[in-house]
Amino acid sequence: MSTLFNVLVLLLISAAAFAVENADQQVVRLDRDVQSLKKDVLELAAEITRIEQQLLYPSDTHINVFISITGDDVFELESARLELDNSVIASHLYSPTEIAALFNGGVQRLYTGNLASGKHRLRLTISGRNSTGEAFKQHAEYELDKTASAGFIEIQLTAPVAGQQMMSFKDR
Amino acid sequence: MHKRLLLPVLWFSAQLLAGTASAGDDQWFKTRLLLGEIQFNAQQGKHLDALTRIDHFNGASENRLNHAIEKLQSGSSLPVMRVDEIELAYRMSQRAGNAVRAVLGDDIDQAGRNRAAFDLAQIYYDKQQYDYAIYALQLIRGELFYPFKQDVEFLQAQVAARQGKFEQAEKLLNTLKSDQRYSAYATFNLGHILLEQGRAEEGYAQLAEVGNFKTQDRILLALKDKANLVLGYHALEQGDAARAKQLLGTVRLNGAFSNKALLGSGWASMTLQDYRAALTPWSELVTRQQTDESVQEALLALPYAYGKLDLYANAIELYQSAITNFETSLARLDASIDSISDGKFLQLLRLHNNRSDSGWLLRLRELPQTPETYYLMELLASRNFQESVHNYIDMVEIQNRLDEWARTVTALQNLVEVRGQHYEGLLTTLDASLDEVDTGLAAANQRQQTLADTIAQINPKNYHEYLTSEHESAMLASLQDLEAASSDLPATEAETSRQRVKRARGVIEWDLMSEYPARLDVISTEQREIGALLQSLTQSRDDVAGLRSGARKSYRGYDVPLQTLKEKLRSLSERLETTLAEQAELIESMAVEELQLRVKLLQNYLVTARYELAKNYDLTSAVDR
Repeated sequence: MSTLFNVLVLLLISAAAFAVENADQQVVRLDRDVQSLKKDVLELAAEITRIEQQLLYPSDTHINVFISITGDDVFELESARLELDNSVIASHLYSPTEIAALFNGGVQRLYTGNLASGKHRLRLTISGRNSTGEAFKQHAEYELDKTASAGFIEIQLTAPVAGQQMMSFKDR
Repeated sequence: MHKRLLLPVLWFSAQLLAGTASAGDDQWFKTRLLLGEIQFNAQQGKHLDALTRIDHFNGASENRLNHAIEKLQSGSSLPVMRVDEIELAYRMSQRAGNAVRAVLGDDIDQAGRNRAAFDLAQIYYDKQQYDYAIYALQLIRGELFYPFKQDVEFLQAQVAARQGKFEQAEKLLNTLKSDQRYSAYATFNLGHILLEQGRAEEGYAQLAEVGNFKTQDRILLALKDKANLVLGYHALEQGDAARAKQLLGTVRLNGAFSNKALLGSGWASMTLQDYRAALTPWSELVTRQQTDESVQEALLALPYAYGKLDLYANAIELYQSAITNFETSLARLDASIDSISDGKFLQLLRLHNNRSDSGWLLRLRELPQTPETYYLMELLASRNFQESVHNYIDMVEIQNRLDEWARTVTALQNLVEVRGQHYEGLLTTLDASLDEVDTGLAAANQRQQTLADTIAQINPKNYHEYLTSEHESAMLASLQDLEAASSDLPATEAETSRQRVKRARGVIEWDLMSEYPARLDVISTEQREIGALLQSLTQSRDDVAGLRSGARKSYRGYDVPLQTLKEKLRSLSERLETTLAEQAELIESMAVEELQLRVKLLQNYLVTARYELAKNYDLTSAVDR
C-alpha cells in the first residue's frame, strides 16, 4: 500500500471524529427543543382557530363546502369554481400533489363562510382532462336549505363519462 | 383558553367522534369530511396544517382518532396516515411516542398492542434511545407470526447491536438469514457486528456472502456493492492486492460506491506494481465529478502512476493539471465558506425546500450557481444534517405562521372592538326598551292572572257580582234610587212604583240568569286570548333578548383570551427566534466544518502535488542529462 494513501487517510480521521461527535449532541438537543416548540405551536394554533371560528363563523350561519373524489377511474382535475346565489365565492387551480391527495382519499375544504338560514343555490363548475387527455368542463347545481346548525356540504366527483353528471352533492 | 369558549368545541369534538359508532349518520358524515381534510394536507406534506386540524378534535384521544381514520380506509387501499404517522412525518417523535403509548393503555387486542409496542420501539430506535426501545420491545407478548415476527426480531437485533449485546444480536441475525426479506440485511449486519468484535475472519466471511448475492433489487445491489467495497479495502490493507482488485472489480461502475472502488482498484494495481493497470481506473475516475473526494485523490494518484512508469512528461502535465484543479477547488471552497457565512446556504434551503419531494435536499447539487453545495454531498445525505435542515425549514414555516397568526389575532381584536362600538350604544337603548317591555309585560301578566283567578271563582251563586254589565249596574242603582224615592209618594203611587221597579229588576235579573253561561264563556274566551297574546309578546321579547345576548357574545369576553393569545404568540416567537438562530448556526457550522476538512485535505494534496511536480522535473532533467 502506498504511503501517500495511508498518510492522506490518517490525516482526516481524528479531526472528523471530533467534529461529528460535537454536532451529534447539538442535533439531539435542538431536535428536542424544536419538538417542544412544535407541540406548543400546535396547541396555540388550535386555540386561535377555535376563537377565530367563534368570532367569524357562528355555528348558526357557518357553512363548509368540501370536494372529494370517488371511484378508481383516473382523471385530471384542473380547476373548480363555486358560486352561491349567482356570486362566485371560491375558485381553485389544482396542483399535481393536490390531485394525488384527492385520489388518495383526501378531502379539500373549498369554502368556509357564513350563510343566512333559508334556501340558497350552489353551483360548481369544474374543468380538467379525462383519462384519454380530452378536455372537459361540467357544472352542477344544488339547492341548499341552510338551517340553524353548521352546514357541511360535500361535492363528490367521479371520472367524467359522456352524458353523465360527474358531481353529486350531499349536505348535513 | 376561556372555559366558555372551550366547552362548545369539546362538545362538538366529542359529538363528532361519537358519531363514528353508527356509520352513515350525520356525525360520521362530518367526521369523515374533517378527517379527509387532515389526510388532504398530510399527503401533500403539509403536516403542520394537518396536525392543526387534528388538534381541533381535542376532546378525543389520538387512539380514537386513529380508529376513525382506519374506518376511512376500510374496504379500500387508500394510503391514509394515522395521527402518529403524521406526527412522525413532522418529526415529532416524542408526541408520536406518547400517542402510541396511549394505544398500549387502551382496550385493544394483543395483536394491536404488539403492533403499537413495535412502532414505539422503532421510534425510540430511530432516536437512538435504546433502553426505551428495549422496554417497548419487551411489551410485545404472545405468539408472533410471519412477517411481524421477523420485523420484531430484526429490530431486536439492531437494538442489541447498538447496545453492544453482540451475542444476542448475532443469534437473532443468524435466524433471520434464512428469511427471504431479511437475508441480505441480516448477513450484512452480522458481518458488521462480527468485525466490530474483532472477529475479522468471520465478519468478512459474512460480507462475502452478501457480495455473492444474486439479486436485481436496487437496494440489495447497493448493499452488495458496499460489502464488496469493504472486503476489497480489507484485502488491500492485508496486502492481498490481487484479491482486493478482484473484489473491487465487482462493484458496479454506476453505483454510489463506484468512485471508491475505482480508487481502491488503482491502489491495488500499484501494490502489485502493475502501474499500467492502475492507469485504467484512475483515468476513468479523473473524468468524474471533480468535487468528489475519490476523484480528487485520483488527480494526485494518476500522475504518481505515470511517474512510476517513468513517463515523467505525462506525470508533469497531470501534476500541473491537478495543481490547477486543487487551486481552483480551494478558491471555490473559500467562496463557499464565505457564501455560507453570509447566510446564502440557508437562503438556498429556504428557497428550494419542497415538501412533496423527499429528495429535494440532495437535488440542491443540481442547481447552477450554488457553490455552497459542491462539497456537501455526503453531509447533505447524512441523517443528522437532514434532521437539522428539516427542523430549520419547519421552524421557518412556523415563524411565517406565527407572524400570520399575530396579524389574525390583531384583526380579531379590532373586530371585537368595532363590534363593541357598533353594538354597545344600540344595546344600551335596547336594554332600556326591554326593561320597559318587561315592566309592561309583568303588569299585564299580573292583570291577566287576576282575571283568570276571578273567572275561576264565578259560580251560580255569585255571578251577579261578576257578570253584571255597567249598564245593568247603573240601571239597578237607578231602580234602587227609584225604590227609595217611592216611599215619599202617596201610598197608591208608591205601590205602583215599587211594582214597576220590581218588574224592571226582574227583567234585568232574568237577563243575567239566562245569559250567565254565555257571558261566562265570552269572558273566559277573552281571558284565554289575552293569555295567548301575552305569551306571544313574551316570546317576541325573549327573541329580542336572545339576539341582544348573541350580539353581546360576539364581542364581550374575548379581550382576555385574545390578549393571552397575543402574549403566547410573542413568547413563542421569542423562543422560536432563539432556537432558529441556534439551528441556523449549527447547520452553517456543520457545512463550514465539512468544507474546512476538505480545505485541509486539498491543501495537503496541493503540497504533495507541488513536491511531486518538482521531483518529476528533477527526474526528467536527470534522464535528459
